[in-house]
Amino acid sequence: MKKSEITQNFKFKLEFLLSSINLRIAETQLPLKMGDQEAEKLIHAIKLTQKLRGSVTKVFTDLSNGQTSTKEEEKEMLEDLQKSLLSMNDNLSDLEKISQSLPSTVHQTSNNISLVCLDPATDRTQLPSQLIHAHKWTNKVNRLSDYACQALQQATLRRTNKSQVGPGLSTKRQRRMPPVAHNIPASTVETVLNSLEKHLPDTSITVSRPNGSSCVLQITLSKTLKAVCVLRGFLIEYVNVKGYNEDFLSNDGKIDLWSKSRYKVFEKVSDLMMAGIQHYYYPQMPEITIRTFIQQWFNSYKTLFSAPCSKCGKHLQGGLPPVWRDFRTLAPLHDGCR
Amino acid sequence: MGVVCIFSYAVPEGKSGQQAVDMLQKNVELLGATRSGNFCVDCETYQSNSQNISQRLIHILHNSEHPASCFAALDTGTILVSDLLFDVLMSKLTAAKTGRESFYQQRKGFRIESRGQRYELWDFVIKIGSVSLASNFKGILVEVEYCPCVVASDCWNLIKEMAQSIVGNVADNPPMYIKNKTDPVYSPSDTVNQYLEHFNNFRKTAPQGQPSR
Amino acid sequence: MMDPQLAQALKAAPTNEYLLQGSILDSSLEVLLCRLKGLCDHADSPEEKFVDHEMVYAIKNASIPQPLQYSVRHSLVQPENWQLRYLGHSEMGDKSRHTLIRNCVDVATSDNVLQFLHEVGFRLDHEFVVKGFYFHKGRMKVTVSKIFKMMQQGHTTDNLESIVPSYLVELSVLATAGQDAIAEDMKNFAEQLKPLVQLEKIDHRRLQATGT
Repeated sequence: MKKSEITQNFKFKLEFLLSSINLRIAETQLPLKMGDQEAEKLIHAIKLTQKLRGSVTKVFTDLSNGQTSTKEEEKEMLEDLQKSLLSMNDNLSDLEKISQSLPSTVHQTSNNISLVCLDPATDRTQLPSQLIHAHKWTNKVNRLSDYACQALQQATLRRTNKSQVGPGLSTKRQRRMPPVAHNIPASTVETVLNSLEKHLPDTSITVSRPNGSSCVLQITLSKTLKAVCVLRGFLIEYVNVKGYNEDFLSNDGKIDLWSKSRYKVFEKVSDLMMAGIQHYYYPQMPEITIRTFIQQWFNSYKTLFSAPCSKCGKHLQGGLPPVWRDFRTLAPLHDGCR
Repeated sequence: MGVVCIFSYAVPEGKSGQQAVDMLQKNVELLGATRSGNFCVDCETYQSNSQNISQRLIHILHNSEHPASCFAALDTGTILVSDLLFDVLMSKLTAAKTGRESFYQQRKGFRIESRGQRYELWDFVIKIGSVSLASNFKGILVEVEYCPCVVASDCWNLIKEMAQSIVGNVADNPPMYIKNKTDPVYSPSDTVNQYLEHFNNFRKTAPQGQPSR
Repeated sequence: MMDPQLAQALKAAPTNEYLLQGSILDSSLEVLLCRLKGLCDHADSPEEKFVDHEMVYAIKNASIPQPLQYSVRHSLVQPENWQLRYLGHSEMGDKSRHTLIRNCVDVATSDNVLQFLHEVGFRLDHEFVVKGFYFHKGRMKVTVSKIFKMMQQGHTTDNLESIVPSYLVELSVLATAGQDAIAEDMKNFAEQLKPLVQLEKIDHRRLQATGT
């Protein structure tokens, strides 16, 4: 019994020593700039470490050979053990001496050892809930990637254009300025949008980036309508319009881009706006494009319900108000009157 | 919930109330509207009972368009919108136990309601209701709602064009309540207020005794 | 009188509250919250906190000695939430029943409820602030809350004074009359919170008698 306890104790202490030694070595190996002298010291230290390892291994092998029957053998074994422990101790003090003279940049690491023993109050940490979230998230990613994979396999993308292979053409094409409208730093986009919002008193614009760099604008136009707008840089990729009394939130409180308005008017306006952004696609001057789009054309929808059609003078046509705005004059028109 | 305008449609001479309702329904169906169930707006009135409380009326209204809500309108103009269970709270106020009188009591024969067919047409909801006071026919109320918009002054002209094609020149001017409204955003209690105004008018004409159907 | 459908809906509405109460010292609050978090639904989300301003209104007149009380609860966290509540007398019942039962009508209302009550004839009786945590397990609701006296009328954020160094723990279920099986579930749940907190049916009349 006692012997096994001693062995246990030894093992513990040795393991601890070893780990600290390993750390020390890691420390000593870290500094990159060294003189010759230091290099020699370092090599010496490494040799000492190897020696120490050897002696430690010997202690362990001695121990593992133990557990003998006769008293004599036991005594012998204990002597052996003492010897090897002594030599190990010498080696260790040698190594410690030399390691102190070695330059070290990371003294802090040794402090971390004390932290290992600290038992964190698991109840206080956010770890379990974070883990659940991470788990749910990975599951979702997995499922979505499956779907994506299926969809992509059905429709293989062919991006290479065969006409580009021609010799003269290809070099010209490659030299052309790559379009940059989609690749504009977030801060620039935000300053432009902020200044836009200041110009338009009863329009509020909130910017969010739910997935990476593409930004989603939620625009509330007076008390007339709400819209979401997906921007890539300054390029308007998608517009969806809903009523002032509707919202763009899915059941779990996230932005829902795709669901249609429950009113026919806004469905129609959404369609017409998607058509309208083709007109406002002008990658050479991206900033001006988005300014004119929001400040003028989109803003002219403020009067969606109040303005009569500029052609027929009436308000209703087929149950809808004048849902189109002329690009140049911004005059309200029924879909059938334009 | 959009903007609602309610018009009182006078029954043409020589016609019964039911005939007038039938005619309106035919009109609306010719426009292409589809039936979408029945509707009912009812109103019950309570008055304060004791000397200690100042004289006060509480009108309790229910609107089938908001089936989980109860509207409590005071004669001061305050309208409380609450859950349907408010009726239970009201019953505590009106409960009289032996040896004591209640705080409020119901006015007998004052229950008034507008009941009829609900139609949907594009983004509009049209309701043709016949009003009855203590089960006597009193008149016809036509409700036109434009759902996508929340500002009454913005879409009045849209509603006007639609309403005129149903009830004619009754709809030339917006209802007084809509005209005098200060808060731009329309809310369900505004609808209730309009109904209450019409109901009160019908109740005032009660003593003359109109021909019932 | 009333619309038959409406009458039916009102009849089916749960207006009986089954209630157990207890209290826990501030120092042991953390442990109780931990326990509740483990026992109740939505263990993965952080516990829900609430801060409510409760105003108790009463209406009186000469012929009725006992005033009728309605209380208004206004959430200070989500200020658009207003609630009007009527609480009936709590019945102790006999020993075979494990919980208190009282009539409880909770009605969500619009924000003009104070003005409305005033115009109907109610007057403010007293008010206080309740801060605490909210859990639920199925239809059982657990609140752990502390009541604060308002030192200045109308000031709900500053000048608050807690009355006792402990939290009130309430376990309640809203049900229709006669669902006594729910009391059994509540008793079992309360058993799981022992010995942290002892949830019991507490006779309010006796409390009032000793309090005065």
